[in-house]
Amino acid sequence: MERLSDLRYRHAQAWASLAQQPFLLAVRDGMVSLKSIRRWLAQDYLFVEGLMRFQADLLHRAPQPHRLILAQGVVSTVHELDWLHMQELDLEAQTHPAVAEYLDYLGELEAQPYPLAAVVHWALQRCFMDVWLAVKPERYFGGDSGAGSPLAELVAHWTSPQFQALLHDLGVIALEAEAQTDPALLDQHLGRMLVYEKAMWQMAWEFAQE
Amino acid sequence: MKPLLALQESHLEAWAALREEPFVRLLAEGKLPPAAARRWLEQCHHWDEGLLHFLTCLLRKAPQTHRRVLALAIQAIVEEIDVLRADEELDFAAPMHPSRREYLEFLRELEAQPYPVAMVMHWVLYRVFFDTWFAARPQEGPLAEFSELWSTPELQALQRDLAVLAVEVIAQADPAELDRLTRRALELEHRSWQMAWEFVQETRRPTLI
Repeated sequence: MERLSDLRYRHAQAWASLAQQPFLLAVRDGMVSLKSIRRWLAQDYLFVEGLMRFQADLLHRAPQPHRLILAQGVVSTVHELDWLHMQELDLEAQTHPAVAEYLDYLGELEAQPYPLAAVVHWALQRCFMDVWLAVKPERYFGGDSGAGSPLAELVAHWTSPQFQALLHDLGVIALEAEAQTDPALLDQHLGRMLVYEKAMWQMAWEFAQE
Repeated sequence: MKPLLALQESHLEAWAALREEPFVRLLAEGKLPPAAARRWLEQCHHWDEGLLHFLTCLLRKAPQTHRRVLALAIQAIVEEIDVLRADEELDFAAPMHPSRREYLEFLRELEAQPYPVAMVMHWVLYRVFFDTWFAARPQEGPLAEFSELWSTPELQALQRDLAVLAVEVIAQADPAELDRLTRRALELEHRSWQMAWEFVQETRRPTLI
């Protein structure tokens, strides 16, 4: 996984700075209302739906040895959507520009060669988890005050050994794919992905402030 | 399952006639020449690749309540491709037979159909194939392992779940269109079994050398 670590290292500043996003810190400190969390989760649902479509496209383009892992990725994403679907979210909400732009980017990635799309797919999942695990905002929700919180279950899904194993396997695929990508082009895409990730956290912060 | 059975009923003659295909009869007797079985499996591999594409397209269009079953169907087809790829005697670069190409074009046509039509036709395709296969249910011969592979409780449950999804959406599909597409699917199935029979005949053809 050394080459993937290099990849993260080359974007370390933008990658690590996501962990300082005010929304995450406010969630950790228990300063975000349930209403704002639900607005964020409704937008997350729209994003995860797009991610599922992207994964389905990736799976069909993938070489056979990569497909089983990607199929498990699709199953896991559908499971997450099922969970979000069961929450009291306004799924008719208008797509926020930050989500719309990120989804446009995923659509653009579908037209890119498989190896590049596979590495960015891993990177966006890894980036999200790194940020979440660095801040551990679920300490607030998972603690005494948050037994009924909608986030606690979602975090249990992300931090389950099965999901962590899947993320590891997606890394193995990305490692193989990375060797077939143009490093400069990959850097350019990772830079863009990090900008979209940041915009998503800023959107969540907007909701918290409103 | 009544609406699905009604669709099957209205095409019963062509549906049941597939069991009488010469390749299917040979399959049931367990007398298939191994070389013909290999050529058939190579074409199955092309089919599975096309079906995977169709299923990913279906998943992208499906409502959330249908996605879990479709995601599991995708996983099952990926596993089936894995089984085929593990067979070192198969030539995956073998050219696609014209009847297979035609069938895959039909799948692409289905991808462009509204979700309810595509979903019901997905049920038709697997039901037609498995009804024929399990009428023969080869217990011996080179393809016997597939009878076992396709009758696992997991796959049976998955097929039942897919049928439930098809029942849910059949009322939203144009009956005349379903009728037309089912007729076409049955023709293509018939040609597929004829293709398989060609492989048997070519295996048996005497050579001069």
